[in-house]
Parts: sequence; structure tokens; C-alpha cells
Amino acid sequence: MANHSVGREGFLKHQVILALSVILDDPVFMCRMHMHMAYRSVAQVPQGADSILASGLIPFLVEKLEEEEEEIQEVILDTLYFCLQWDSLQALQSNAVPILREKLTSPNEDIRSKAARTLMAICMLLDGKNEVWRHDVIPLLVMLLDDPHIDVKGNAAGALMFATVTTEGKYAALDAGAIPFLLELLDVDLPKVRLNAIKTLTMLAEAPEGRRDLLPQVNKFKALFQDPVLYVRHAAQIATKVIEWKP
Amino acid sequence: MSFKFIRISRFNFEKEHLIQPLPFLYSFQDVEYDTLELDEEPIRYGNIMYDRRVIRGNTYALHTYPPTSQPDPVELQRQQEAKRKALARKRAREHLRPRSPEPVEGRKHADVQTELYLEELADRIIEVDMECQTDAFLDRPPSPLFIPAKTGRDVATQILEGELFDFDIEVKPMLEVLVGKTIEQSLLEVMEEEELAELQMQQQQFEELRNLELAEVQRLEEQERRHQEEKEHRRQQQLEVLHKQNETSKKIAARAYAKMYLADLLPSVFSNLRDKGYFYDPVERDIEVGFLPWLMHEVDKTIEYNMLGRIVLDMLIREVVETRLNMFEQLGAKQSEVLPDENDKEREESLTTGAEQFIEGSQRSSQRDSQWDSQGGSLRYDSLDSAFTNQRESFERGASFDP
Repeated sequence: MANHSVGREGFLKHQVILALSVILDDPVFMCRMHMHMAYRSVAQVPQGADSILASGLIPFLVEKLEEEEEEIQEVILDTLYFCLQWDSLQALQSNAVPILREKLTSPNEDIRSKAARTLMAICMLLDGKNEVWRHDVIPLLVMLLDDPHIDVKGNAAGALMFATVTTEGKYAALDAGAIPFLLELLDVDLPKVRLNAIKTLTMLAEAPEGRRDLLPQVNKFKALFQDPVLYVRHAAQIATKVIEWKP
Repeated sequence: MSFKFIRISRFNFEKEHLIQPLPFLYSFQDVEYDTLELDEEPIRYGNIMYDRRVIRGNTYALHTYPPTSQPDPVELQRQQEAKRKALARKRAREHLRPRSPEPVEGRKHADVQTELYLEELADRIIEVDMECQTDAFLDRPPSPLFIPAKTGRDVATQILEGELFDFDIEVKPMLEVLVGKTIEQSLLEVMEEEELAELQMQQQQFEELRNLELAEVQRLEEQERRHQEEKEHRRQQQLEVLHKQNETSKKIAARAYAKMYLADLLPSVFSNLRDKGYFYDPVERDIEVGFLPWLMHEVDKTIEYNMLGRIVLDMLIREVVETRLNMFEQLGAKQSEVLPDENDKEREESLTTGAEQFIEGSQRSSQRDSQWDSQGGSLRYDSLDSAFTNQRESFERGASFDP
């Protein structure tokens, strides 16, 4: 029902969210699965995400993240991804970053990619960025850039993209040696990965060390000017502009 | 309504409603009729509907009897006459009634029962309670269904298989419709799913773009922030430099001024000190401090000795002069015994003058001798001796004075 927008509005009107939260501890697996899927659908709308945040479910979801089975974990990660884009304060308070950090090393690649995506959402806000840097997640993300699975790479690049906005993040990524990995990613087929990689490199190029390292590689960016996807071209132009900037 | 009620009660009471036939005004022949009247009057009932006395129509405005007033006076008269006549008849009947003779004096008639079986004569009227009660109202029973009588004739018929329609042929279009609808529905659903998938993809793309743009915005923000910070920093630095420069120049100015002010200070200080005598030649000072006081002290001492000597000398001289004076007085006294008084005076004068000369002389000599003070008192003795000789000489001169 939550898949339709009318259904979502109905959800919000009748505060079904709170009612569903009772099922969080339900012993039946399918019950919880469906409930989490419903939450995920609700969270995709801004109002839905707001109401989930308002009902204080985030700490519970983070707890469940540790305990639940993997399928449900994926759904929860998706829900968190949508909710945390707006306000990550509750998640940070409930210690989400270390948990996600663990998930980054999980054997299941879906979980890895979704965890990276959720970290990206956390990093969208300034508090999240600082927390992520403080918990030393950036080196892990840099490691994930080398992951065999494409989705994981893309999401890790995205998370790095946001985490490197702050100066500390930039230097942490540079220290972890992110640049070579990101340069490899520029050749990947999936546009999302390329976009994220370009953006991350742009961030890193803001720092003098990054610019110094990237200046020899400017040609790679110039090659991307001919990319079929419009946004990749734009991003490449911006990147070259930043790399070649002189104070 | 109460008026009617009263009227009706009176109506009841006076038995007017019991329709009685109009009294026969002129019949005295019915004696039996009269005897019957002993106990009760015969009650003849008639239909109330056809009674003249019953009032018809509206009764609200009635005050007088409804029969029109015009025949009323005639009716009234007739009634009055009838009443008078009835009364007269009644009296006549009373007279004609056979009564039992009057009782004898002192006795009274009493009613007695003469039958075989005595009856209890009680005033109590035999009452029998009769009740009448209508049944409670019952609901109106529902009207029975109207089942019209069966009309017409019964007819029966029978359909054998295969006569009406062929199932397989007929079912085809229906089947087609059903299947078609189902397929259409499923097609729709599949299309919806495809659409959803398409939408999802678009959403994802949009999300990526959004993330991208967001990252870009954040980066630019960050850049801007850094630039601002840098600018602020530089500005601060500049301000500090300026501030420092200011301070330095102020310090320099202050130093120059202080220098100028104090330049004069040293010479003035030195001159002051010099004036106050803090710079001195040690030898000079030594002389001044050590030698001269001692010198003065010694001089003082010497002068004191001198003074002392003089005083002693003075004392001596005085003593000597006094003794000499005494001696001379004694001598004089002896001589005056020989010589006249005037000579005494002269001698006294000469004595005194001689004494004075003597004293002056000794003083002069002592002054002359002061220079040799340092040589001790020996000179003083010498001076004393000389003073004696001078005295003797003066005395001798005095002595030789007398003529």
C-alpha cells in the first residue's frame, strides 16, 4: 500500500508508522520483512521521512541493523538511507557510524553497497561528515574503492564525495591514498560511478596536495569531455577548472 | 364545558332525559294509571333522536331555550296553567285517596308486617356490584395477504437437450471476453511494473544527479568558506601589522620626547649636586673638615687661656690694689691725723688716681705681655714684678706728692 503516494499520505494521516513500530519485535520473519519494506516505501517521500524521524524510530532501526537477518538489514539500510538525508542527528546519537563501519566489511556485497550508500547519506550533513572523519571511516571507504563489485565502488565513491568536503576529510582521504583508486574508477562503465569519482577528485583537488597530484592526470579528465552522458561532461569540466586553478 | 356538565347533571337528576311522554293534561280516567303512580311513574322510552326537546346544533351561545322566544310567552302561560292544574289534580287525588283512619288519641300508627314469614325491613338497599370492563385495545392485526384466487389454466412444458442452444458455440464470445479481459489486465499490470522499473531508474538517475549537485554545492560552499576564512585571516594579519606599526611609531615618539625631556636633566642634576657640594677635592675637604676645626679649637683654647690669665691677673691686681688701698687708707688715716682734711682728699684722690693709673698700667702691660702668652706664665710674673715696681714708683710719687 505504501507504494502508492495516496497510500503514503494515508499512512501519514493515520499515524500508521507508530502502529507498525509495534511489529518491530515480532517473531515472525515475514511480518517484519514486510513492515520494513513498508517503512522503506514511506521513507522515500520527504514527508514520510520526516514523520519517521519525528516518531523517533531511527535508534530502533539502527539497533535492528545489528541484530536482524541480512535481507531485513538491506531493507533497513535502504530506509535509513532515505531518512538520514534529511537529519542525521538521531542516527549519530544512536551510534550509527561505528555500526555502519562494521557493515562495510561484511561479506555480503549488497550489504556493503547499501551500507556505503547510507554512509553517503549521513555525510550529506555537516555533523555526519565530522562524525565519519572522527571514526576513521574514510580509510575503509578508500579500501572499498577497490572492491570487485561495481555498486560497492560507486557507493563508496559517493560517500567519499561527501565526506571530503571538509578539510579534514580531504586530508584523511589523501593520506589513505584515494587518488589512484579514484582515477581507475574514471574508466568504469556505469555513469554513476564515474560521476562520483569525478566529484570526489574535484573535492580532493581543492587541497594543494591533491592539486599537485592530479595536475599530471588532467588529460584523463579532458578525455571525459567526450563522454556521452551530459553530466559527466559537466563534472569533468568543473574538475579540470579546479585542478588548473592558480591562486 | 362546566356549564354543560352542570346542566347535564341537572338533566340527569331531573329525569328529563328519560323520555316521558307528554303528560296527558286532560285524562282523569286512568285510575290504574293513578295507582301505579303510588310507587313510581311509568317510564316510557323513546328515541332520543326524534325528541323535540333535544337541542340540536351549536350549544355554546345558548342562554335561553332554543325554541324561539316568540311562542315562549304562550308556552310559558300554558306551562303555568298546566302546572296549576297538575297541582290541583294532585290535591284532588290526595283527597280521594283512601287512607287508613287517623289514629286514636294517644296512639300512633305503626307499620307491621303481616305475612307468614317476616321479612327484614332494612333501610339498606340491596346492592349488587356489577362491573363492566371493555377489553384492552388490541393492535390492529395485519391485513391478511391478498392472495387472488387462482385463475387460468395450468400448463406444463419440457425442454430436451440440444433444443435451446449449442453450448460450445455460445460460450465462445463469453470466453473470448473473459480471456481478453484477463489478458488485458495482466498486460496492464506488466506495463505498470515496467513503468515502475523505468521510474525507479529515472529516480536513481535523478538521485545520482542530485547527490552530485549537492556535492558540488557543498564543495563550492566549502571553497567559499575557505576563501572567506583566508580573507579574514589576512585581514586580521594586516590589522595586526597596522596595529604594531602604530604602536612602534608611538613608542618612538614617546622615546624621543622622553629623551628630549631628560636631556636637560643630567646637567641640571650635576650642577645641583655640585652646588650642594657633593663634588669636593678630598685634600681641601680634609683640611676643611679636619684641620680647620682643630685649629679653631686650639685658637679657642689659647684665647681661653689668655682670658683666664687675664682674669687671674685681674683678680690678683684687684686683690693687691685692695690690700694696698687698705694699707694706704690706714696710712692715710694716720697721716690725716697730722695734716688737714683737704690733703686727705687730695691724697685719697691721688691714691685712687694712682691706684687707677696703677691698674691701667698693669692692664696695658698685660696687653703688651699677651703676645708672649705662649711662653707661659713666667712672663706674667715678670709683668707682675714690673707691675709692683710700677706701683711702688707711683706710690712713691704719691708719697712725694705731699708738699
